[in-house]
Amino acid sequence: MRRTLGPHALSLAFLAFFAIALAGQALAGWQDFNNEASAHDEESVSLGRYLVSSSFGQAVLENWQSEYLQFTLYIFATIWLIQKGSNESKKPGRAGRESAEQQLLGEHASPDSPRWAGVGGWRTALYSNSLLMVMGAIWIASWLAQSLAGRIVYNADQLDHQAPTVSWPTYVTTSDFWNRTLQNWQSEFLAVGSMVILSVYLRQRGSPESKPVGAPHSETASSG
Amino acid sequence: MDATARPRGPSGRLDRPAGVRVVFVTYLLVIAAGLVLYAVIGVTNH
Repeated sequence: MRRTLGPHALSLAFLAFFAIALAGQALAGWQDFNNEASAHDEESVSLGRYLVSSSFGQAVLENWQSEYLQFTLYIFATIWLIQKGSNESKKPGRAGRESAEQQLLGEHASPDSPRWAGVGGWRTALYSNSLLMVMGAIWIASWLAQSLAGRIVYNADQLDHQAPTVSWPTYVTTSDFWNRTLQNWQSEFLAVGSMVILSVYLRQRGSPESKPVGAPHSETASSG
Repeated sequence: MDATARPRGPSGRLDRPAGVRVVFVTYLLVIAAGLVLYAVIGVTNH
């Protein structure tokens, strides 16, 4: 078992953390939803019904979109921006998309390189940006899904208060939508910036997210 | 060197690329399932 799962322990551990946290969120959210329903003299709902509600969907996806935005922006920003001394940055002087030789493209690809790195043309261009494109697509899709589910929740609240409901284009201009969006973005940006700058002076022995403990503060991009 | 030999990891064991693909695809399926489920629920006024 350990020999089978060991090489994938990092991704499997985070998948398990995700499942446990999502289950906890579902139970706590269901309880909270029914408490609110009770306070408004409305019927409570089953857990199954809550799991397929816009209320739960909105709560899940507003966090998803901010996480995928964080990584999309980070992948893009680290192509061009440098932080001297940070393990999260490339070395000064390497800003940009780098040469075909540095990136092992075309004739510089090795025999065990991914095939699309070596073939050239649109396939190499596409594969060269595939991580940013997929992470960005997940961000946009989850932000869109958040807005669709959020509109349903918003309109249900409007109806409860005998207020007019709104269309989707109107909902994405409301303070409700932007409050939910930006409260997640600000925390992600602060956390990412913290990782960049704290890794200049602080260390974690054994983690590739840190420089080696004995690496000088001025050394950039030296995973430990 | 045998040209058909599969690459070996640092410990000398055979790498298992199929296992990596399973985890990779599992992540993509979980993400896609969540996105599609709540987009459909949002569109259908659930």
